[in-house]
Amino acid sequence: MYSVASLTISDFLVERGESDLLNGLSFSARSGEIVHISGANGAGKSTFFKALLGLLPLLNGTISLNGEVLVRPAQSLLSKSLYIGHGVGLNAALTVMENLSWYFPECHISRFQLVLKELSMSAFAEAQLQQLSAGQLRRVALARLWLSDKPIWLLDEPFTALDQTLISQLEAKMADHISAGGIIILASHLPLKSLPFQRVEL
Amino acid sequence: MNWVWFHKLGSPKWFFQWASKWSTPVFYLGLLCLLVGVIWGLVFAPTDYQQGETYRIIYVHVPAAVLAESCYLSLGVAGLVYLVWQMKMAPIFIKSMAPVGAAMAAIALISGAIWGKPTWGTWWVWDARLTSVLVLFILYMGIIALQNTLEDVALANQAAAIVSVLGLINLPIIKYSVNWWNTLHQPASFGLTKKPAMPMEMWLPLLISLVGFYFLVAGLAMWRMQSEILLRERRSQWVKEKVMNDGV
Amino acid sequence: MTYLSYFKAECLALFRTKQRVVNALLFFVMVVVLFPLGIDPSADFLSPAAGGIIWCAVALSVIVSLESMFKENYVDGVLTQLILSGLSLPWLMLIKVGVYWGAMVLPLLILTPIFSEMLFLPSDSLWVLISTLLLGSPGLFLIGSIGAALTVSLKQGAMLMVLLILPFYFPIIIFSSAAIKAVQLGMPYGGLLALIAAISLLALVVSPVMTSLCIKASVR
Ligand SMILES: Nc1ncnc2c1ncn2[C@@H]1O[C@H](COP(=O)(O)OP(=O)(O)OP(=O)(O)O)[C@@H](O)[C@H]1O
Ligand SMILES: [Mg+2]
Repeated sequence: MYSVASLTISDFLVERGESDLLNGLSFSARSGEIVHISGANGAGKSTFFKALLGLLPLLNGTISLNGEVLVRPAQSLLSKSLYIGHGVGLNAALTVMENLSWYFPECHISRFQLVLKELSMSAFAEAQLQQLSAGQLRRVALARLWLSDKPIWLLDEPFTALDQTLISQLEAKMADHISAGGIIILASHLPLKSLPFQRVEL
Repeated sequence: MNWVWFHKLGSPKWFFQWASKWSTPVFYLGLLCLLVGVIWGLVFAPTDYQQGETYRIIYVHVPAAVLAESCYLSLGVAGLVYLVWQMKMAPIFIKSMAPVGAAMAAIALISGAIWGKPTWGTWWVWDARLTSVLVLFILYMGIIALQNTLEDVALANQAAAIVSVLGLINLPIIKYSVNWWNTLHQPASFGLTKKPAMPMEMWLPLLISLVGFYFLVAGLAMWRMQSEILLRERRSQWVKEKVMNDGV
Repeated sequence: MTYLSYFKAECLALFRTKQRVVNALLFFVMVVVLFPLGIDPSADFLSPAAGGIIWCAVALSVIVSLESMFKENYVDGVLTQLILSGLSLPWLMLIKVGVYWGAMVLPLLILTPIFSEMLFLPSDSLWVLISTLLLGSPGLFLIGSIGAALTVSLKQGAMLMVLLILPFYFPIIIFSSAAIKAVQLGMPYGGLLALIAAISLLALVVSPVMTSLCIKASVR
């Protein structure tokens, strides 16, 4: 079980270029819940994650973790959350395996092999990232979900470029995570097929 | 210590109102001082027994060179203020001041060249102080180029502040480069501690013209900052009201 | 992610893209060759100018090699993950600059005796040249990384980076070539070496913080 009880966002307002985004977005996610953020292109979904993580300044708004209001930079949020955004966050000069062992130096190789097998990527373990297709690249990025023990997942369009098999696999993984008491906030244009979620429309 | 003025300075609206009162008088006061200083220097000051009449260009050259350095110092301080307190006015100041400082450096370089021709026989010598003014000019151009190239305003602010702060390292180099390299250039004409080598009738007009330059630059900077504030705050209520009331 | 695993990853990544380092070294060679070809191949000119020529070439090739240092990481979102890693970003930046420095300075030190011979640098000056390189090049890399971070979000940032960073290299270049000239004239040069080291030390303190500020402002 994870040690996170709740994550509450209130009155978010972010300035982006010419306009103010998020218009006082507020929601609360408790342990074992999924928050699904949807909205048109440019509505500010990615902006929300960046503001939450402190990559963008907040004009207004507070973040509370377990009922405690965080002062930014919110190290306690960063240390508990795993963010996968539009960028895959992988070093293009390295192989798949090298990228994983850079992120998770404490894990043994066999663990990586297991996860890659589950994602049907075993054949590419030693491949350079340039040789991967877009979906394969996303799979390697998502492998971090299988390897990490962070309770809060922040996923910006995790289903991009994935095939049907992997989408259902990812949903199954998300189900595992929330049943273990984790929190997932995801932005996506697709609704989740098999999971209950709290809907937030931007 | 009362810090209210410091917080007020952080508010573009307050600064705008303050500057609209003061920028014009300051500018004209500067112009007046400059005219007095330069005319006095060019017409009435005694002839130098070594350099003859050509020395008179110092009434433009020295103030411009001093201002080029002072402007950079102020940029550096503003950069530091921005990095530490994220004060909104600091990047506006940097953006408005950098072209003014660049102009001062350019004036110093050009007048130095004009002075150099009769004195040293060449338009340019690679002497320490001329070179460091040239470097200063390049630094100004770098800041201006950076701000024009980076489209994200927040990034441009941060970047310009960082380069300004880094450039402060260059100022001591300018100051002491006269001692580092033995060159043709004369040592600094002005010193706060030692008595000036020039007679009073020569340096008093210089002082007046220097003060004139300071006021002139301050007035110019305030004007430029006012228009920059209007541009950046165009979405805020007070700017909209102002434009509605006063027209553009 | 740990500092050690980041260090290993950066070493590996640089090893995989070693052609970039080779290109920067070739650039160094080309700049050095430019001087005898473009100005004067005689020993009279080259011998006193050698130190300065080598230093100019080093400065330019360092800028060239650093220009793209953060670009790919920026596009791929690696920089975002570094910011969010919970590790201290200035230390990560220092590690990265250190790796780049290590990869460049060793081959440079090997090339230096060859080129100082070709430029007729008196052999007693060679040790001073190498000392200035060892003391001054960390400064070049540290300052250069700030420029690379400032221009990371630009597609064509190379020219701007040269404009921004080269003025900050002037003191290091001036003192280094002055030290080499001093030893040729039989004058003391220890003070100049100390000055160069001081500039590098100052850069060591300032640069990682400034670099990470730039990175944080660029990643949004
Ligand atoms: N770097 C930027 N500078 C200025 N404005 C930006 C920047 N990035 C995005 N924006 C603006 O912010 C708004 C929100 O962008 P954001 O990336 O959050 O959208 P999104 O909801 O994630 O869209 P998508 O579904 O396409 O991923 C957009 O209108 C966009 O124009
Ligand atoms: Mg998005």
